[in-house]
Amino acid sequence: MAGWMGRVVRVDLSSGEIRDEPFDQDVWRRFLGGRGFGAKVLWDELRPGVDPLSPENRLIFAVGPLTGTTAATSGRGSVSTKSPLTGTITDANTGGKFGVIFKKAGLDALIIQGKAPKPVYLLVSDEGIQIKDASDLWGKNTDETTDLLLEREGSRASVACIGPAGENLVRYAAIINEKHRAFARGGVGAVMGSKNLKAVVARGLRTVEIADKERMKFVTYEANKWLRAHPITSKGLPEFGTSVLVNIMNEAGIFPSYNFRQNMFEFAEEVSGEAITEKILVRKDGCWGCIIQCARRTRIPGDEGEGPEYETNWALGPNCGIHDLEIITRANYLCNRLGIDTMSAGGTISCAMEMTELGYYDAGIRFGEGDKLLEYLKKIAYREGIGDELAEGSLRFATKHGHPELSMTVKGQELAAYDPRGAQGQGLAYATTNRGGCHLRGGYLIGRELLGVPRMIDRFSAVGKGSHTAILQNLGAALDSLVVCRFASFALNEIVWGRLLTAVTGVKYDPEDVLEAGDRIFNIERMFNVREGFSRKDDTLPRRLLEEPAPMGPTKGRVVELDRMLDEFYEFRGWDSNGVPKPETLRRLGLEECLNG
Amino acid sequence: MKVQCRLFASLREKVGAKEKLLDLPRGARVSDALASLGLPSEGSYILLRNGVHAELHEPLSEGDVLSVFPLIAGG
Repeated sequence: MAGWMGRVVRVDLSSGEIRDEPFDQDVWRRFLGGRGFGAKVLWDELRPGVDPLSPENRLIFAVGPLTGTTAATSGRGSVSTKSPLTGTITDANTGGKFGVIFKKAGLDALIIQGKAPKPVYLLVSDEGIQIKDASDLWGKNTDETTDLLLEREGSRASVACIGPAGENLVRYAAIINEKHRAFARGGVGAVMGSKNLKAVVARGLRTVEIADKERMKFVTYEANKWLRAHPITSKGLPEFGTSVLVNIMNEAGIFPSYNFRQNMFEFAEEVSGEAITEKILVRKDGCWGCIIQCARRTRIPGDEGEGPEYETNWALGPNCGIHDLEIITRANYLCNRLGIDTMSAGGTISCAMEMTELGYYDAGIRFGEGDKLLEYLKKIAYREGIGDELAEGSLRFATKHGHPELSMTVKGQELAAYDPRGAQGQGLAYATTNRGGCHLRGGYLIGRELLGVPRMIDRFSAVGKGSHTAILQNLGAALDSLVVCRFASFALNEIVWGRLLTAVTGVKYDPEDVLEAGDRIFNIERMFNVREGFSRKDDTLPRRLLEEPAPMGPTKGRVVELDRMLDEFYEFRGWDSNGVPKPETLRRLGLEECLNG
Repeated sequence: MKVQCRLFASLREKVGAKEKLLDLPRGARVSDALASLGLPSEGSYILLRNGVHAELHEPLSEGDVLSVFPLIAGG
């Protein structure tokens, strides 16, 4: 078989059974891999209402047909589950090399269910799959766990593990691979912790069979030429990393600070990509085989690591009123070691800060208190004191204390570093994500509304944003299933991805087939959420963004005009006015399995 | 008329400054400001005039802030 390895393994941690599943080629053709395959399994296997932290929940590690090939940015991996933070379907996507090594072990996907009676880790190698004792690793942070497992399983292995946050079921715990990379969002680490699974270690040397090697060589050459020629992938990202966005978002008045009380930050320059380059950068870095090299290897007094990336930088910095780059970087390293999603951690702490400032509830921390931020991250990971409440995420915390409107979340997941009051389409994108507040799964409208990629559209207009949003959601779902990096798509479009996919698998994919696969994946995810009780009422934004006009700068006076955009979006998607995919839409996408769901 | 120009990312090194106060003739356009900065107008930029997207042919006014970025992305 070309592209796919042709192997799916199921591990039941309760019984200890490990067995090969039949490989249904038609499913992989329709859902590609990664996020798409995960969504299909969750739709087929999870009954509605399952507690995400129960043994019944599934945790699916999956890669895609392009993973581990010469295709641009194909060094990524994906995990899917039902989120303990949002109750929706979720997937998380990581860089580094874990995905590639996982595929080299000879697998396309690993479906994990049940709960081990004691802490274990899984060794996934080309020599076999084993459940191994991890009692001595429980309680250790992700650095220590990684080092010990590499010592045990060999330095060629790649480790994806949880830290104390995952063990303690923090609802936004992450899975960390290669110490600095994260399957970050939605609490995937807590699901792993609930199964007593400390780590998945991949090791292998298998190669991916390519259907048409000559064609692949040519399309790879061509794709890399585009990446080297495009100003964003050849200069913008490698030169200053993702935090280069700080200044432009601030100048445009869509850089949130102080839990979105402000839409600009008076100290933006101090935490900008330019400042990172000047003050803490050691060297640039990148994922397996990637020529973009957008990652930042950084150093601060007494410590060294990777990051902060733009979203992390903002969440732990400006959104908490903090502008000390050293503290932000230290908090980033700490989150990686504890195994916490930096974005939800920052969004939860900023909510607690605002509750304190307004006198609604004294959480003991105020805007700008950097040292306390570090202390609170530890409290969260170990669920100590106030940390136990904050480990539940900002929505549960704010609701418990009577002010849910101060949780800057969608479907319970904390938002990203763009104030949608100055980018209407991004507001629609946030509101309609399948995994809750997210700038990527909802569609990165910022690319079109602020950055002019592939072309600039009017960011203040609420008209025509439905189609832009849906198309970007579909493309994103396809890319997450291939599994490749979103950044490559600044330079490469669905035509290139279709050609790569055709060369690798031997199955003909035209550009519209790639987009249709994304459409299918987005819709099966939506159907999963519908089955869980989600509908139009949940496709909304925090009250602040809908009712409080932005207070500053070029965005001053604006709110998100969500309702009219939603109607247009549902119509474009072929959903009814309550946001439920119509039967004819499901039929068009070949989702017969959802018709009676 | 005075126009405040702010430069970002690689353009700081190119122009040799983070900010520059330009004195331009009345009726000058965004492209004239770029020329004064020594930046070729056929280059790829994101241009914000007072925080809102601007086109090269757009006329400037006294007191405008022009922010000039190379093509960038992230997120």
